[in-house]
Amino acid sequence: MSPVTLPNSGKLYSYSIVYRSFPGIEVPYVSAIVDLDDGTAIKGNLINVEADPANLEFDMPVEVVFADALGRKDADGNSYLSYFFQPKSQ
Amino acid sequence: MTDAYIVGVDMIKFGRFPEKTVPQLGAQAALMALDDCGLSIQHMQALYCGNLGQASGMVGQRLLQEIGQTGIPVVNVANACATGATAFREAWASVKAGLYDVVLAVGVEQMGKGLLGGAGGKAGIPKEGLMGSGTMPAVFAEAGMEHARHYGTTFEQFAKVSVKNHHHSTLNPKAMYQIETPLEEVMNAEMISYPNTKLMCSVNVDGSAAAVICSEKKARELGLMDRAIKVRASVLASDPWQERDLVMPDVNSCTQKAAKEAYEMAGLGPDDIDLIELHDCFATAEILHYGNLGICKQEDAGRMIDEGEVALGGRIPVNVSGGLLSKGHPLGATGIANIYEVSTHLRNEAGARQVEGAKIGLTHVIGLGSACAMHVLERAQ
Repeated sequence: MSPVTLPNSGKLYSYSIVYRSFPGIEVPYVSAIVDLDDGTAIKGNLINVEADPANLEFDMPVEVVFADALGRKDADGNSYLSYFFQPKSQ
Repeated sequence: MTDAYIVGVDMIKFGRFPEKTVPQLGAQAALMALDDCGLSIQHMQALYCGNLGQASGMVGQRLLQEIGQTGIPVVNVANACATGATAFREAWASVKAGLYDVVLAVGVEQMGKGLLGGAGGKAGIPKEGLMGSGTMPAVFAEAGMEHARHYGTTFEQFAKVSVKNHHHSTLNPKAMYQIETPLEEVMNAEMISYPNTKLMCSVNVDGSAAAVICSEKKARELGLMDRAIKVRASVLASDPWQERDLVMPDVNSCTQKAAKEAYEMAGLGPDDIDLIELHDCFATAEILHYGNLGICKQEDAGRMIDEGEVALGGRIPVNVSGGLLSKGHPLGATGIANIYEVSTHLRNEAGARQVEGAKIGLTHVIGLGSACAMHVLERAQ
């Protein structure tokens, strides 16, 4: 295997707004499938948009941002970074 | 190769039975299916037992401890939500191949309440709610929204599936629920994963179903052809590779593949089917399969539900049992329960929900991961 650098922008392909998850998981949030500009499909949280279907259009442009993994730490106390999607700033 | 027939088939009323063990639940349906054809466990040459929750627990052997340890071969089967149908298919294949003349297939499950899916590995940190959702309502919501994106399917149309199947279940005494759920109630129920509200998610219940499968020669010998159901096609497919597999578990291409093969094996087409029991684990899922099974074009799925074509009395009734949405979805039992439902219509014994003049029916289940099992059934001539 070798590392691949993916584009940091793409379009919203499909989504669900999750209101009920497992205990301790903050809801609601947007679970999004995004097609990146090179055609790679990835799944993640779509943030910085109100979780309402009225604000979510298929093919809306999104960008990939990196941030702390919602404060989650592993058993050894390590913090993690994760990727998120947000609506692309024009 | 011989033809294989269902000669006995039954299911318990789905519900919650925490006081029973899994083998006890399975044994109940097994005895009912045996009674249905007047045979006993002594006649059975093999047992194919589907269960998911105790997949390593030798459920089939423990079931025989309840109803007769005759020493026959037992095969324990696990294949996600296609578990019951896969056990049935293995039983069918053994008769078809001439290994045995008469065998028993059982599907059984005891479920907790609550969300399925989303469990990650133990290493690192949990990914649920961080990198999207792996819960089943969300995964099937995303699959439904993909249909919406391509064909304009609406929240209301998805919700109507649930209205229809809950209505059907009011006519099925073996369903978990017999409650009408009007459209506003479905749409205003607690939102679980948009567009699936709570009433658009299948019910986690305990249940079991069983079938006795027999070669034609043996069925005639036993005088069991009168109510026998011919298995015209039995198909199992895994999911052919798709570009989005890693982010969207694919329930479409394996269904399309299985449908094509099932119609070929049965020598007929979707227009010949009188009723369908399909895998409505979520209301969004049912809509996908109208097109996948070829009963309409993909873009017409919304219209099918709007115009009542898939309701009892419509052109091709779908899930007249109430479906997984209201009859309930005990994972390992579902595949055989669907076969029970279709067989009951083909025998003209379905009472208030009888699909008039039903001659040929189709059953479909999907196990995410993915496995698709399909059967085409016909009343013996």
